Amino acid sequence: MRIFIGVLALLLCTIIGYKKASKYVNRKKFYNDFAEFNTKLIQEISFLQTTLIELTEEMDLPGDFFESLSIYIKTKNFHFEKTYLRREELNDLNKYFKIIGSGDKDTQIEYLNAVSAQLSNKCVICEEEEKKYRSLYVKLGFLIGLIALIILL
Amino acid sequence: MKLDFLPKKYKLGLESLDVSYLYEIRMRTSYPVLIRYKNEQLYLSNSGATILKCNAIICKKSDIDEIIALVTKSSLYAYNDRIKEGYLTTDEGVRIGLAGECVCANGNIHTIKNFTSLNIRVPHEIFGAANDIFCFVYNKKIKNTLIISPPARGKTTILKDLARKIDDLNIGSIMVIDERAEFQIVKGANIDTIMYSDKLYAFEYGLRSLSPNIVITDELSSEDDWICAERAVISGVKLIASCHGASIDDIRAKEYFQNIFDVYVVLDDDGVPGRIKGVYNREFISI
Repeated sequence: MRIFIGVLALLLCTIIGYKKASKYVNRKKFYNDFAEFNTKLIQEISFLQTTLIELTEEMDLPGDFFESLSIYIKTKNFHFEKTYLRREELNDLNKYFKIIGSGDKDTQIEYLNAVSAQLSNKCVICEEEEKKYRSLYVKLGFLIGLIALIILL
Repeated sequence: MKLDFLPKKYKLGLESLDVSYLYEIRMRTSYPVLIRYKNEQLYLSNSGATILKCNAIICKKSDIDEIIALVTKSSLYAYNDRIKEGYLTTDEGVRIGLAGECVCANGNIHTIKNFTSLNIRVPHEIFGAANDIFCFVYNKKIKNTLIISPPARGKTTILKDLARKIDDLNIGSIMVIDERAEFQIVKGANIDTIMYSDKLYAFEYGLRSLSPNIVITDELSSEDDWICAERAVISGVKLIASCHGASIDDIRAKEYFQNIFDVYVVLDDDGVPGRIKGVYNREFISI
């Protein structure tokens, strides 16, 4: 019985570690998708002038960024349930959704280029955070679980 | 439906109306919505057309913004070339005139923002709209024809019907210069349509590359338009065009006027749109 509970604790702690680490994985994916969309939007506005609806349908990629963007374009309601973004990041995202498509070509490109620079920076930070904390949380979870197992034995 | 882009309350108000008699919707922020229905100017209420101002729907700024967002598919940048010309056209050919704050840069209008008024022109497909003038436009051969009327009197509807009729005759290639995408539903085996281009470019590029026998274009207005029209006629192409004016004298008095047409059709400025007031030959004699 003790062994069973100990193994269970080990598994549980490792899963919690993974869960904690997933925040950084999700953040990295979110900002990579965001940067990819932003780059694509700059290209489309500069040359083909594709509308946002056409562009999101054309890209149709999985992920929280595209999901929230699609909802916003269809309903004009900002909706983001996930908890891995900070309050100020959510505000920036809401502002981004409001601004894209709301101006002429020149002002849009100017704004998107400014966002692009911020996103490049953000992507680097998220990448570093993911590298740093992902293995840390997984190892930490496993270690705590292991300690629990040893104590129980 | 052609007017799907309207906010719900407007669509509810229009439900009880016969849209085939609706010619125009005018929306001005904070003022009652006006409609031109069965040749009368009325107010739009929640239950239809009314003469009572107090029952009218009051246009809100958010109504205008909602329409702009829907028509531009939330992508103003993709429509800015048209916006700075003061209009938008829906996929179904409904032309929306825009008023708001013009943003200027280097002496040119860069865009329009903070829209305050919309003039929604409801197009009508009236098969047979050109029946009365067709005998003047075509008599064994096509004649260079100018249709003259004040705004919203049916010039474009007649031109669209003429395009279809000439296409049915199968007598040559027709090039439609459609600056504002109002002819987009007119299609045919002989019809080539150049959309969203100014007349200068369309005439030069179209005449060279599409080799049309007949050119149909709406609203000759600027000096460039008249120069292009003259060049086309000199080059042997038959031209059917329209122009704003209330009488034949108005046209002759225009600064850039060129007597290049064989037939001048003047539409009535009152009553039913599309009704002919007079037809004149090259010498401006009534025929």
